[in-house]
Amino acid sequence: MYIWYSPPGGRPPSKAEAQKKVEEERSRSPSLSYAVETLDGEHIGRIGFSKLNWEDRYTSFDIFIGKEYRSKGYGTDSLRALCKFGFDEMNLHRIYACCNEPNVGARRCYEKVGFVVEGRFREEYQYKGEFSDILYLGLLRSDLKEESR
Amino acid sequence: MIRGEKTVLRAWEKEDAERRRKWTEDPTLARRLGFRYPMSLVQQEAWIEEAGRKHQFAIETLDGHLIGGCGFSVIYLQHRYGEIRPFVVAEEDFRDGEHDVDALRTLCRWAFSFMNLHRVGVTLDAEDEEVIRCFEEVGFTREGQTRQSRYYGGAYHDEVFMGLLDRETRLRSDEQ
Repeated sequence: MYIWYSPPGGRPPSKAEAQKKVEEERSRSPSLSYAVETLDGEHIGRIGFSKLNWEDRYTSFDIFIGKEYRSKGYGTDSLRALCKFGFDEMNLHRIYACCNEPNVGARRCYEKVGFVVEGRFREEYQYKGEFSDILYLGLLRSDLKEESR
Repeated sequence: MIRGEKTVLRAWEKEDAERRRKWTEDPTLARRLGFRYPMSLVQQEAWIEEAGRKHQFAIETLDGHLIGGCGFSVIYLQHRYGEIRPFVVAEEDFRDGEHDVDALRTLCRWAFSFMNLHRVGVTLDAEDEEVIRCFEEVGFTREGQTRQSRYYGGAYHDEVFMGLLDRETRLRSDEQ
């Protein structure tokens, strides 16, 4: 699972780096980063809030679902649970997300939870010499969509 | 120092601390500078000490009068992208659509010509028409608006995102 804990810049982490990251998260109080499990206890990814801005009462999050568990609704479900927790228990006012425009899976997931596209940063992201746009999405408590079933 | 037509961007000096502290006592400027808490002279000096390593500059008129500050809060070298924060012309007489616009244009030109950035972006208070106009004048495009992302004065406020690409300024300077 150390591949889930990449340092910034997309460099693959060493096992020791990944281990250190997990230990740091385990000892932080309160921890804002969580393992994602299926209801029958299988560890499929991680999710967590990034640094909180208490004055403006907003934060962002990062989420990673293992490759073989994607497109099954796990990401949407865990993100919805995290956001609900953020609003109801942590009293947040707003949560925001950024995604690379070609990453349609991420955008669809965020929109299912209720996030609204508020901006498009033109050519902000560079990968393999090509620039792509970054979409900026925001979620207020009233935007949060309940599970549609 | 970085020379514009009407302004010069120079490094912050220790002697500027007192002026900066005065600015933060003005609520409008404190908001633009992003200072929420009162700052002591010692804290200002510590900020200045760090500023040299952080692409932060003082804005002066050509005759050496300190009128504001500007710089990049963060630069992502692999994306060749920088985030302008803050951009403030503190002395009211120079928020005249000339000195402020020249300082901003000078900062952006420097970023494209000497830092090899591809893009500069900025997040502004959506209600701060004066500063938004300044960025529009330099060629920035509105790229979005948040809902209720900043809290001050007892209420939530929106912010505006703006961005400028290197080819957009090159076109502008070719025209001149």
